[in-house]
Amino acid sequence: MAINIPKKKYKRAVIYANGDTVVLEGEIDQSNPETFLEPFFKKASSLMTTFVYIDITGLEFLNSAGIKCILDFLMKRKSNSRVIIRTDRKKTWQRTAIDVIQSLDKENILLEE
Amino acid sequence: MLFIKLRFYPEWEDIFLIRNFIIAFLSQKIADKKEAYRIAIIASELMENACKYSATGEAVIELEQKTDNKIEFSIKNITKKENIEEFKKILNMINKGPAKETYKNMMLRAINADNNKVKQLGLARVRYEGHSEITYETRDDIHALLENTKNTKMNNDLMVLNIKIKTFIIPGQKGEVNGN
Repeated sequence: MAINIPKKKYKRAVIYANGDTVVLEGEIDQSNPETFLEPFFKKASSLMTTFVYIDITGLEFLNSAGIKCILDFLMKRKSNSRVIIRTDRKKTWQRTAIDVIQSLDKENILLEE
Repeated sequence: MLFIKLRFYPEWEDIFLIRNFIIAFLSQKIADKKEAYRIAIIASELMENACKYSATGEAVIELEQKTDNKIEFSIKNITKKENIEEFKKILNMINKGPAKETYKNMMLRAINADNNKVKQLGLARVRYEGHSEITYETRDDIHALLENTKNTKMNNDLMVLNIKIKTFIIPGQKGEVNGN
């Protein structure tokens, strides 16, 4: 089943899902990003099949509360499913943060540049 | 050498403005945008802590370029003594072991945890992603941060927490705007 979640803006952050890809763009720097990321990821998780892309190439900033939301999604997703995180390696924070996230489950969390 | 001092009320919406100021300023003065962005992430995480735990008064960020590639900065705010005790425990945990391993462990702790654990993740992030050494000082005299604050209730339970960061910066192509 395709994951289709309409585009929504939360201050400087934009989130949506299209086909097999969940997209996070802009800046996630709210004090409580879980208020919109948790339901968004919950819906994406319920609709995903055996794999999903998370595209963060357009994500300019992500605070640690936002990192926690992504971690929760990655660790609570369907068992045996794979996640491919699409990153922009020119953004240094994506290289450093996402490399560590990937190390939590190297077999099932993959990186695409 | 470069010096910035910003005095502000610790309000969440101002973090975005100060972060972008730091990126713009550093990337024009001493480094490319990637390096400026790394420093801004450190500042942003620490400002978030200041916003969450400030009890009253103002907060002050100071950033100083000590040498061509050495940066020190500090963030001061007034908080409750119990928050300082908690901060000390967290920092002890964060400063133990290799920075990457600690960051990974803090990620594991944050999963399924309440928001309090995010504070630990933020400091671990500052150490690893910011390539930083984190120390702190405390002071009883809170008046320096109350200069512009009216109607403040004095309280013996409050102290100034000064978080100090040492990191490096790779001097780069100033004004480069691609990538972060």
